[in-house]
Amino acid sequence: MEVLVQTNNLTKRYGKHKVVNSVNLSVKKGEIYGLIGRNGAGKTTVLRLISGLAKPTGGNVCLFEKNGHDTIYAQNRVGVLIENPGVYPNMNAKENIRLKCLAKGISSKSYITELLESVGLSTADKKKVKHFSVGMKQRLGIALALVGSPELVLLDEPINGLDPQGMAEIREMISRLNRERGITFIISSHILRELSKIATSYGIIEKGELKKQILKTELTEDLEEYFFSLTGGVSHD
Amino acid sequence: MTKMIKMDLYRFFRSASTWAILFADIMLAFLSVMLVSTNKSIQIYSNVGELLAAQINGGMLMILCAVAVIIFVSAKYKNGFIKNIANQLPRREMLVLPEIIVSFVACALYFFVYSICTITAGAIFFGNTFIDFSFFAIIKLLIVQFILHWAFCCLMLLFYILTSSTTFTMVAGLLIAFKILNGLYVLVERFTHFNVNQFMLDSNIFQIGMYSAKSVYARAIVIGLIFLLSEIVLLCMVMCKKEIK
Repeated sequence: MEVLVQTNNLTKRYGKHKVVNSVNLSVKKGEIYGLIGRNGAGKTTVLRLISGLAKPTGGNVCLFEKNGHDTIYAQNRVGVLIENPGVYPNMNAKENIRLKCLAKGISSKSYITELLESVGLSTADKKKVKHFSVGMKQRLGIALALVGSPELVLLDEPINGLDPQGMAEIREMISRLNRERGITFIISSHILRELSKIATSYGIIEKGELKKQILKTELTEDLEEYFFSLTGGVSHD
Repeated sequence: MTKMIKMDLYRFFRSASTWAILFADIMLAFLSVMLVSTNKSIQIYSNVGELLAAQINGGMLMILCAVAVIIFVSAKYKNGFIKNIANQLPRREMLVLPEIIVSFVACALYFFVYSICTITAGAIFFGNTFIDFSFFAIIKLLIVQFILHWAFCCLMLLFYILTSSTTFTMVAGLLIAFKILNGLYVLVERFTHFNVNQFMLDSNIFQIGMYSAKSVYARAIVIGLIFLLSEIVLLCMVMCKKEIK
C-alpha cells in the first residue's frame, strides 16, 4: 500500500527543549491513523510539522513520496484542522468556505453546498459562526479542511470539548469520509477509547518520542492497558 | 496569487469594519470642513485644496488607513484562518503579498472618499468659490500622500507580522500619527547635526502641502517608495521564516 506520510527522525526544538524527538512515523493510504498521547506529548507539533505550518529543526517529512523542498507542492493535497477551527466568527459557514474556495480557485456554488451537506451543516449555512456550538465549529473546521478534495486530512483533537453525542457524530463523519471518498486521516487525541472506535492504526507519542506504532488488529487488551498507562490512563468510557 | 488576492478582497468588502471605517472617513471629512466654517478665527485656507492638504497632514486619515489594515490582517491570524491556507501555497510570500494589495485598496478607497467628501463639504459650507482650486495640484498632492500612506500601512503590517500583537501595532501607529517621533528626530539632529526628519515617512506625511516645492515632492515620493520596497522585502523575508500558529 502507498505510503502517504513518512517522517524520518523528525525533530523540533524550541530553545533547549525538544518538543519532538526523532519521530519516525509512517501512514499508508486509506488509513485512519490515531496519534495518541497525553497533553503536551508533542502531537500537535508533529501535525504542524507534517502540514508544513512549522519547520523541523532536524529530520524531514516525506509526503506523497516527495522529499525536501518538493513537499511544498504535495501540501496542496493535505487538509488541516489544527488546534481549533480557523474560522471568521462574523461570517456564516458558506462565506467561510467560500473564502477557502476562492484561495483554491473553486468557483462552483454547488460545491460549497455539497461540502456543507457532507459535514451535516446544510441547515446552518447562513448562520453566523459566532452562534455555532463547539461541535458545529468542529464540523465547519473539517469542511474547510476538505476544500479542494485533499487525499490526506490532519485533525488535531477533533473531539475535544464535545459531548458523547457530538463525539459519535464526528466519528461517524470521519468514518464515512474515509469509506466513501478514500480520504486518509491522521487524528490526534488523548482519548484512546474514542480513537479506537475508528482508527485503523495507532502511534503512541510520549515526551516527543514515538513509542510504538501498531495496527488495530494488533491492539490486544494488554497493549490497551499499556496505552492507558502511557496516556495517563485517560480512557473516557 | 490572483486567487489569494480575490480571497482577501472578498473578505475586505464583506467586513463590517471596512464600512464602519468608511463611515468614520466620511464623517471626519464633513465635520472637519464644518468646524472650519463655523470658526471664523481659523479660516486661513483660501481654497478646499489647502484645507484637504492640512487635514491629511493632521494624521487622521493615516490613523484610519492603518486601523483598517491592522483590523483586516489581525483577524486572519487571530481567528486562525491562516492555518487553512498557509500550507496550500507553494511560497510563503503569497500569504503577505495579497495583504499589501488590500492595504493599497484600503488606502485608495479611504483617500478617494475623503477627498470627494471634503470637496463636497467645501462647496456646501463655503460656496462654490472655495472649491476653485488647481485640479492638477490636488491630484499631485493626493498621489504623493497616497504613496506615503500606503507605505505607512505596510509599516504597520510589518509591525503586526513581527510582533503578532494588535495592541502594540495600534499603539505604535497612533503614537507615530500623533507625531511622537518628532521629538526623537529633534534629538538625533541635535547630536548628529543631521536632519533625519526630512527622510522619514511620517515627517513627510505631516509636511507635504499644496504648494510645497518640486524637490520636496520628489523627495517624498522617493522616500515613500524606498520605505514601501524595504517593507515588502522585509515582510516576505519574515513570512518565509515565520511559523504559523
